[in-house]
Amino acid sequence: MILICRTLLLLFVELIIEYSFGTMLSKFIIKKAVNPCLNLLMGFVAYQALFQVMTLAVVVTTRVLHHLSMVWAGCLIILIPLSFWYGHHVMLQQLKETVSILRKKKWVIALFFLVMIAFCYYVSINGEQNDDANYYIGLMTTTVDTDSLFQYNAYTGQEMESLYLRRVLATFEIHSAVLSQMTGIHPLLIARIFRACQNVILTSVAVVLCSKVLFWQKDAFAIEKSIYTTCVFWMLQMPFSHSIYTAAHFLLYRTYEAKAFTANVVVLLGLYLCVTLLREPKERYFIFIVIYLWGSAALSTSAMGIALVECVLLLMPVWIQRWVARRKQEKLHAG
Amino acid sequence: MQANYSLWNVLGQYFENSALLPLFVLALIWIINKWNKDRKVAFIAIACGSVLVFNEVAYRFFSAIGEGSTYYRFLWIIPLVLVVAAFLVNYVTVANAGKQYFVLALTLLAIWMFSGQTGAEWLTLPENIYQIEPDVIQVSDLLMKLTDNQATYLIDDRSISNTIRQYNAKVMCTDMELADMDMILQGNDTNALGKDIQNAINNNRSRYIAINKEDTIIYKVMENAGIKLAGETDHYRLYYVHYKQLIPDVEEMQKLSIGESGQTNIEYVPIQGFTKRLEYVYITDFGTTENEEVYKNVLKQIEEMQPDGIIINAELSKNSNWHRKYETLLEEQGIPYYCNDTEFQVISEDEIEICFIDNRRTISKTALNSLENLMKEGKPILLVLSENISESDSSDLVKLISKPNSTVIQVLSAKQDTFQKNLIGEQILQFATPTDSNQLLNLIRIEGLEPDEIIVY
Repeated sequence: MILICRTLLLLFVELIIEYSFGTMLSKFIIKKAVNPCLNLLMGFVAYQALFQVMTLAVVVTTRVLHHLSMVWAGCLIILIPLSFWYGHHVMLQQLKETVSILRKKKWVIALFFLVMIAFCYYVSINGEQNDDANYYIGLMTTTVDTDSLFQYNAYTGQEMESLYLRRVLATFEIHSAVLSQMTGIHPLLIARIFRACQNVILTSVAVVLCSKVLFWQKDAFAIEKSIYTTCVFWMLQMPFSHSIYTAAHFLLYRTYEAKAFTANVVVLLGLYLCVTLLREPKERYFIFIVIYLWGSAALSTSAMGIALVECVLLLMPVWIQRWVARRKQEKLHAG
Repeated sequence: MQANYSLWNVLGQYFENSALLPLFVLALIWIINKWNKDRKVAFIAIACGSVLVFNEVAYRFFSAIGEGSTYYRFLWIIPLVLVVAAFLVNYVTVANAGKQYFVLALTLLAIWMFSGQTGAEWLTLPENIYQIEPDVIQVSDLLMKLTDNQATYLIDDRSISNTIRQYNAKVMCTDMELADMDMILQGNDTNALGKDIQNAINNNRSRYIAINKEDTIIYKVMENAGIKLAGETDHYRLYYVHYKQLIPDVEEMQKLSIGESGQTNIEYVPIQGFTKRLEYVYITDFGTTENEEVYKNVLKQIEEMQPDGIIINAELSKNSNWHRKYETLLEEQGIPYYCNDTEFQVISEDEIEICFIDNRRTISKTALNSLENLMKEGKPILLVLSENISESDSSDLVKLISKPNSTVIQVLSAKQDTFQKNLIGEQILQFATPTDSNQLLNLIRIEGLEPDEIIVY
């Protein structure tokens, strides 16, 4: 029980760190406050991108896990106070707004939390056992037990002859191993409880964000309807989960895997960013797109490909729109 | 998915004839209808652009670069569940504010009822917080106790090694490609010869072997290959391989080969507290060849082994070639040989009795009484029969050696065509070797089990 509480506390702390990092980034890039949900999601991808850089530096030099843990701890020691100092006004303002919404719409928010907690519980206890679980969780445990990075085969424990570049770029599991080493929580708990619940929370936030901007933007009950959409979204995962090929199966039974984060958090975040660019010429959001693509690469190779294809597809209207506008301007000038 | 699937196969597998696909189409129509002109244009542009990704050529391209099996993940770009959810919420919130919660609750309940998920999936907690089999945790913890937290190799029938590395990466497992031990353990190959198991252990660098307690015979077969019990959990026995001893044996036996059958076979007969090591070459067949070289080769192998004796199956004593070629030579070498062509014969060694019974005909009461008296003396008995006993045999001999006070430790016998290992009673292993053209020398090594502590989880 104590271990589970520690894991959940780690989750809470991690979300706060990601939110503060995202707030600092959005204030620095966009120069004004954005939706707190976007802060959290951008914080998550940017956090993974930054971690990837640190990991690659250690992989190229010592390939020792505790060195990476020390580097990452140092990074957090600088990052957290900096984020709070730079973004505290925005965070306080958003906290006040959140509290105000909580007071006005307490039953709706309570429903949201109830559904989220129910699914955090469901995904934590119903994780699948399969070859991918042996690989991803085996990789975390191997990394922690051998205190090394990408030196031993996750399946067998035997020394690897060479570095597999494609796997090295995806540092999501290494981040889990670092968390395990820093906190003393077993990698199995990090995967099955911490990552699973993190995915549920981030997906819920992403669905609220996307549904508001896509469907309920000008609706008087935008917040209620976004939350209702999230609740129905979660319930719909269950009938959809009966095929391995839908993201629902990954979301319910392989929630801790980077692929599940890709299918839900990354795809929905990409959708939001591209739709925002489509609606208004917010050029600085292109910087968000770059960070989003970079963070996706740190999650998994699937995420890299899917994020890239999604951006190309969804930004096509933006580029067409701008090309048409430029042509019109040229004709006007010519005329 | 295979590379020769078409894009339509991929889509079919993705949606799997689901009724939710028409719901998605309806939802799309509702959305497009709601949107203004600019959004509709953007949607059409995206849909047209999607054709660049979701087409047969693109699918074949991804298959060619080795990503055909993960192509379906690009379908995740379509926010299918989000769109359907928004569509349903649109009708939930048509009702007035008071009834909204009621309609929403009904919607959520309806979805759950038709989702195919059971109450048990929600309410049944896993057995432990790590959500892996308790046996895996027990075997892992026991291994760490036995090895003092050092990394070690484990092999089993994949029921433990499949997931143990998720819990403890210090337990190293075999390479999936080395299938020989898998065939023995996973395939429950109870007829596996000692040499096959020893080679598999050597190939797989195994130190510890985990065997389910319900596998009543395979652990006996493993003991015959020279491994010993090191610990027990609730459902598993953990055996330790005398790796340093086995390797020289394996290398030595690999050098010895005869005819077409290759490596000589070693079968261990472990006896608790036995202080010596006795070795007997057990032969049930030489084939019918008249080739002198074969016989010379056999004799050369036996000379190199320097056994304590040779045990010859009764059938061979009729072979005039054997009598002509070997009797004299072995006498000159001073290697004793024994044949069970008399009904009852006993060779007494210091700490063991080797008892020969010719069971090709009904065994007399005299012979059975002699065996019973021999058992009363209390010394371990290695029983050598002319013919194998089947598992369903209920003869007086079987009843006698299956008694609780039986001191028979193992039975050697002969069988046509094949090697076989089976249990007589529930504890005594019978090892039958073929009587026709096999030419494999079997070395029976009788030695003591070191009285190590057996650690129980």
